[in-house]
Amino acid sequence: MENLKRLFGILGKYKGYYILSGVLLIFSTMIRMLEPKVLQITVDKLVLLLQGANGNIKVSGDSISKYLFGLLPPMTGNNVMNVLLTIAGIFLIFSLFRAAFWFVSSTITASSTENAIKELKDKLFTHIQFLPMTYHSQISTGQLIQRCTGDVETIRKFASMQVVEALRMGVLFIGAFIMMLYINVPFAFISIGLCPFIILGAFMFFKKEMYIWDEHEKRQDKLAVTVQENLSGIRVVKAFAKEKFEIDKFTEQNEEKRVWGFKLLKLHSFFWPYSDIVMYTQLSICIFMGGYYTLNGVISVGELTAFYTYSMFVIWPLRRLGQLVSEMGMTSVAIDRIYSILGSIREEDKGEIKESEKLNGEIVFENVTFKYENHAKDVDKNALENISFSVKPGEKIALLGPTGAGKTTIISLLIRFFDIQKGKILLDGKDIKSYTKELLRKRIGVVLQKPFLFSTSIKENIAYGNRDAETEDIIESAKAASIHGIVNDVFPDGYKTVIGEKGINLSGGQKQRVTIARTLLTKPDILVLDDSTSAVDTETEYEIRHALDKKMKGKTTFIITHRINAAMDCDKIIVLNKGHIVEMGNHEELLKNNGFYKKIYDIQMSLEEDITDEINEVKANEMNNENDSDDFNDGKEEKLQSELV
Amino acid sequence: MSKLKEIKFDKKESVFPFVIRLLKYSMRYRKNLYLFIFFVMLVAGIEALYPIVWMNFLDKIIVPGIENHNGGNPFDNSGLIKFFGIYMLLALCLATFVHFFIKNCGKIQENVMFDIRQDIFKKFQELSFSYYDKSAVGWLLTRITSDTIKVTELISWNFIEVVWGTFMIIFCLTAMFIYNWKLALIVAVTIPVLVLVSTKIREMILKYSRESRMYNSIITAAYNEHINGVEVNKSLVQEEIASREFEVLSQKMKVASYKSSYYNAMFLPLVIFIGSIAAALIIYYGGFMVLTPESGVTVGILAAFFGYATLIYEPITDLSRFYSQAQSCMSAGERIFTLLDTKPEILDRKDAKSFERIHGDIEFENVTFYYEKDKPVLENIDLKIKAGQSVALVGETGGGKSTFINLICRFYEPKGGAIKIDGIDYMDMTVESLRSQLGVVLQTPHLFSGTIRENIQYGRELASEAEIIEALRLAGGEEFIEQLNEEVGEAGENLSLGEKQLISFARAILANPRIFIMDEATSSVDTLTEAKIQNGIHGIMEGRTSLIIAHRLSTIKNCDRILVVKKGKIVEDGTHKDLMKKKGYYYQLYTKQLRDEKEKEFELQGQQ
Repeated sequence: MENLKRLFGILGKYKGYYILSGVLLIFSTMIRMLEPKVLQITVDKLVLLLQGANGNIKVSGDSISKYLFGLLPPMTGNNVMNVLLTIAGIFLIFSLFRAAFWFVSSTITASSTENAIKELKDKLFTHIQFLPMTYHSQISTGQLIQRCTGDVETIRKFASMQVVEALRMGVLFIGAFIMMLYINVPFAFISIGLCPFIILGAFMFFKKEMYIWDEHEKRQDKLAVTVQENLSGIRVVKAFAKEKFEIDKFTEQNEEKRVWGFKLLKLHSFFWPYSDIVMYTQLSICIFMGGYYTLNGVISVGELTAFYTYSMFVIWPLRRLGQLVSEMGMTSVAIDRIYSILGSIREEDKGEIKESEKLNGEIVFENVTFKYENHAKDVDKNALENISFSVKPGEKIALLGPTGAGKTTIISLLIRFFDIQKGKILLDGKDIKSYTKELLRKRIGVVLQKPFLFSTSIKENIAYGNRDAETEDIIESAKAASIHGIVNDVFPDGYKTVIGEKGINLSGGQKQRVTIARTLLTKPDILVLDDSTSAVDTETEYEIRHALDKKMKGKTTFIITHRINAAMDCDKIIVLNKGHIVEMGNHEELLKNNGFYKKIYDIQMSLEEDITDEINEVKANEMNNENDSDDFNDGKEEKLQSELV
Repeated sequence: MSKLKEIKFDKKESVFPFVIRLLKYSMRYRKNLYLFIFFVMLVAGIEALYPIVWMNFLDKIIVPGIENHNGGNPFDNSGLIKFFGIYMLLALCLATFVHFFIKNCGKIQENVMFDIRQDIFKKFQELSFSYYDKSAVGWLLTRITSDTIKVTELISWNFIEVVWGTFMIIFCLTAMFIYNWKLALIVAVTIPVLVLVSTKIREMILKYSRESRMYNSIITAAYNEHINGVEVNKSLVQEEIASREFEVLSQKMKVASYKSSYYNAMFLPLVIFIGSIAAALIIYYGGFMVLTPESGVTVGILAAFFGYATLIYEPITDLSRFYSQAQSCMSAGERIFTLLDTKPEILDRKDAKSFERIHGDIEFENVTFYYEKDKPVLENIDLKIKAGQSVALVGETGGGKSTFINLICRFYEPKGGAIKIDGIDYMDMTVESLRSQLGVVLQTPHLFSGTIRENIQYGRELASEAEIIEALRLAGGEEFIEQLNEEVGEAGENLSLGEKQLISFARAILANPRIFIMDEATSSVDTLTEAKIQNGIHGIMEGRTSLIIAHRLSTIKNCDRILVVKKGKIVEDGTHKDLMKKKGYYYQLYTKQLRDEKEKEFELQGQQ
């Protein structure tokens, strides 16, 4: 019921249209009710004429037919054609109106539903965009997408087909029953006498069906999983020549699916005949009783023909009741899931400072402690503990440390993806919570760790954060990120080259460079590079760093890295491990400190030594085997030659 | 990968050959098919009888009864009871026939589905690597899931509509022509009109629903991108703009979706209205005929014809529904049949012999190979590997290392030249006899759902417990000996990548191959495990030819021979020491790696 209300909430804006559509549908169905009347009147008129005036022939007694009957001139031998023409005309007009009302009603429902569903989609999309990172870090994207597509589609189907259908069925049932009551009350009740059996049967059937269907679907899914596994491991299958083994395995699953398919089939092969037999028994009783009443002069022959049709109208909707109930169940689940998204609270943006000329870039962390809420991993662990440091405007800061040390978390706090639980972060002397998130994120340019690009052109990707950027500015940013050359010379359509699913694939390093260009184009006051050149080769990395130094001169810059050579020339190096600051200072200070940094540095130094050792060893060998080795090399070369020919 | 997707299948004219090919599958269940058609025919027959029985009831019982009654005679119940009996009998027959046609129809559905799936799966096992390079797993999976379901529904449940519709039209027309050909003609004339109108509208519905499905997939992609990239949208404050852009897409889908609903809404009202025109004509002419006794038209006949006129649209809409369903299923069917018609690139020759126990000599004779015609991968390669040698392949990604292995395993065949195993061109031999003597550890360690034991046994089904344990030991996976009965989960999801690699390693060892091949198989194991594997490798290499591609050069340092492959050519060839001396590409690669590895060590230290 709760969900039914929610469904009306989704469709709510178009309430008026749905009511209009419903009214038209009722009209249409009411006209449908009158159609059997036409036959009824024709038959009565004809019987009357044929039998002549001898005795008291029963003619239609209900008010509707009396009224219609009264409209027509009494049929005599002379005006037969005219009367029949009038009746046929009335029938056609009825049909026309019925068709027109039905059509208009359906189009109104369709357009309202499509509109409501479009709005639901938009609302979901926007809502998801504005949900806080705490939400996104907890939910799987696959699930979210399934809800936005599959579940919305379920609701659309229900709203566009079942809602109207239910209404139509209801009107048909009630309308036909009223028409029957008009003709004869006891007869009307006899005509629906077996309805409980149909309803009962339908409910029992759908309960059983739900269970078997569920099991059947499980087998179906299992089959799909088996095939998927086989296909993703097809190379293994072939490498081990296990095709026959795999076919046997599949056959077994396929067989099991078939067994459940047969069970489902058995259920259907009994339910439908059952419902048929109840329905037609009802009809037989109707005809028997109708005949009895007619012969006893209680109803007219015309009324009997009308009754025949009405009793069909009454039974038919009942057969569909079970299906309606089961689809309602499915829709209810979909609505539940969508509301769990829409019910989540959007990111708030309450800061007082909305506009600011420019951020100076002075940053102070005071005893900051932070824990990810409800995060799947590291539930009890603080991601950051007691972090304090300060950054002067224009300084270049390196955050150094192994994976999971908390480097990225510091940046997430700076642009308020998450809010801290303890301590204080000051930006230009003011609490970071007094700035709007929008302002922070616009002025602090973060090149994210995961280089995510959209399936649009390179140009659109670079201009993603600054849509109105001039082409020159875009090229300038691309140049600074050392991607301009590749885009211009290598990509098929230059800046218009589409990337991603429908276009070309970029290498990891290329992606990183595009994301750097994208951030630079937003002209940030503070720049953060989160391990953003890890996949770029050393020379290009050097180029980029050089270009950034120029571009970001006088602006605060953070560089997150786990490589020492990237951190060496920074004004301040903050070494993090497991959420703590281990060391802080510039390169010389830290070396003197003889701590963690020195150790890393030493490993790198020893690496150089290792390589020297290896080379020396080779050299020593060379000395020893000087004579032999020359021969050996010659021999090799000859062999190589022969291989290459 | 996208190439296969882009082939379009919606050619209108080929609906019938497609349906006929499908029916060939049902013909395997001839008995069920005939019974199914027979019972549907009976059902249609009974449904067509109802108006006639009704007519007789009115004409034989009711009208004379009233006349009788008017004549002052007491009415006679026996006629009523007789017709009640007839109606009940009809109901019973109908229910029985419905039961049997559902049963037979379902049997066809389930069996054909089973058969098509069986065929597709067998084809999957036959197809060569080159096919899989071009097609995504998800895309192929659809053939055996939704495509098969669609197609089998078409020739079972949807096919009822064709059978029922056809018989219904025949029966109704026959009945009508028997009773009065003039009135029957009125109804008959509407049939072609109805067919034309309903087919046209169905086509419009189909057109727009296709369009809306296309937008739907675009919308799904948009959700996908912007949910996965939500961090980017937030950091660049683009949430609002992205949402506005989405609204443009959802608007397009809405329009297409609405158009399809619009024609859908038009369908029944229009078709029924056309039927009503016929019904009106029946009232007019029929009513007149009732009054002219020589026409033979009674009140009952009039009522029956009225019924036929208002009901004749039903079989026709059913037929048109089948037509449109066949249209929309056609792409699914074509995809299935194109797949089934694909000839695997690698097939045993007719006169192929089997390899006896392979000794292990491998020879490339002037081998040329390409995946795409104008992009040669290997050109004129000559290479001799002696039985028992351990050979490492080193070089840049895309340089052609894996191609060597793919060719040796005959996952692909050389486009020029020949590959000889023990001096025999392997194209003259069966694939199975070669591969069953290979032990391959692939780059991505794929496991199947089941226990760890089952996965290792994949290498050799009949291996004993002791052999399994020995294989695990050699692979450096002692810790798994206690966990042999644990489930690895779907595609091995319960295990880490490194663990999966260990097990796939043990799997290859258990196969006790004559040629052992490892393609970048140790890239994801930690240093400790790698050391264990390295110890094991030594034992494995003994007494068999082995080829190794390893990302970490430390793994292959001790191989008998190292080949440096660059741009499809072997540029360096020798032992580790030889190549270090040479100070060529290998030397550079090795020193660079050493640096990276040390950095990783630092990374590990930090995490402890």
